[in-house]
Amino acid sequence: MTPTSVAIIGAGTMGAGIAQWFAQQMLPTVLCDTNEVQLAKALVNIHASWDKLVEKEKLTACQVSQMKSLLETKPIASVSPKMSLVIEAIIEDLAIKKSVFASLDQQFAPTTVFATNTSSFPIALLATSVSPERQKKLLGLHFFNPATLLKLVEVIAGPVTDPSLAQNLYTWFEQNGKEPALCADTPGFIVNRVARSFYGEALRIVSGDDEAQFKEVDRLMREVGEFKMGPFELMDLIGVDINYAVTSSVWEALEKSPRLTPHPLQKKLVDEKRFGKKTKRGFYVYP
Amino acid sequence: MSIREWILDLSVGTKQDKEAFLTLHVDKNVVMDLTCFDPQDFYARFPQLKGVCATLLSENKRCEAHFRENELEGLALLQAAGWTPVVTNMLVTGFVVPRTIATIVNEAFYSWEEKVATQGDIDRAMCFGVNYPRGPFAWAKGKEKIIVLLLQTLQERTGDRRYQPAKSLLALNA
Repeated sequence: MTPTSVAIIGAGTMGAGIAQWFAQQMLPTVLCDTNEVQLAKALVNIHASWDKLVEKEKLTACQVSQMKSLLETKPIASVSPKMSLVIEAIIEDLAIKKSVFASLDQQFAPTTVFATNTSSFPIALLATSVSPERQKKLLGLHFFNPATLLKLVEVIAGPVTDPSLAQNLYTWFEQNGKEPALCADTPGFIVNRVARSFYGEALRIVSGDDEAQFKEVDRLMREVGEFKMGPFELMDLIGVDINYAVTSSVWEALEKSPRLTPHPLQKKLVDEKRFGKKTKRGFYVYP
Repeated sequence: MSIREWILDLSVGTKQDKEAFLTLHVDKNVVMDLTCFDPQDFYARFPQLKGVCATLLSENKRCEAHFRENELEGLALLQAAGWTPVVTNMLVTGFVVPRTIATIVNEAFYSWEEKVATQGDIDRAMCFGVNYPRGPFAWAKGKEKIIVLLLQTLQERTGDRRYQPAKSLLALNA
């Protein structure tokens, strides 16, 4: 399967980033959202980002002009049923995702491939909302934020996904500048599972709620470990609440493995609404 | 008063090997790699131990180091051996970076055992999805024995099953 036209459902940060990346591959791309304000905002931001790339001489004005003409925003109902790939990138809510997939299944041609950008729900579970035929054409394509810069796409085949579909998309992404990773339909896929230790171990190294210790761990991870950011500053950036929710969900799904047990200090911060940068206080205090 | 000779020990060894080495050199000043052990425990028992460091999982010649005495001499010793020590007072079993790397590697081995993905795809995902400087399997290559020893030390000291090494990692260590 080679994507020839793409519709992205959901114009939040991830959806907009994914749409921008596909348009940059010179593919006809449609970005959809039920929230018209959000949709308009996403388009303005993408155009502004492209204009900046022209200023920085990373793209030419001619390339950007083409990309702009290839990227459209529309209500979902107005999208052509003949799109080759539809990617769902809406809120992480199982019931809403299932209902969107059920409705997309009615709208699009039987040949259209469906993908979800979910980071937490099993592909097998989402596939139950579409017809048995479509289930063979439904898979996970998990992008990372910012989708235009981070090269990884986790390509996740569900139990009934046509294996050649996942393999073909893997190859296509590789040929188009991404670094895909093929993975099984398991909790957290690859990154959200393996990365848990980066945070979990840091929380076990410190002896309590002590900013000086957080700073020291972060400094050592950067200066010695060559990580771009330390675990505490990164949790504050991602959102301590979000990080805790992912940890809890992977831990639950993997039969409460002791390796992935959420840490009481992280729970304490969540209970105190110390979510990180967005609330001006997490492991650190922000002005 | 005579000037004591300095010794730098960066060898891979068991806890008993390290203890035996220190017992043999009671009349020296020793700076020792204790990547897989508890530096506080060694400091408490061996006064000749003047400094500790963690070099064994490092890929960039940078290492955590701590000196309880004679910091300048200890630093010079490590620098002369080609290391860039980063001094810290955070003295924990397995140090900060090695124990974090060991647990990331362990989870990657569990994931591989459970057929989540190939080793190559797991390495690729961690490098390109979250910008890790190396993939877990690239990190572990040739260092499996050290990682297992570190995880076993952590398990022994904490009694926490989170440090139980993956079977496939143990098999590489056999």
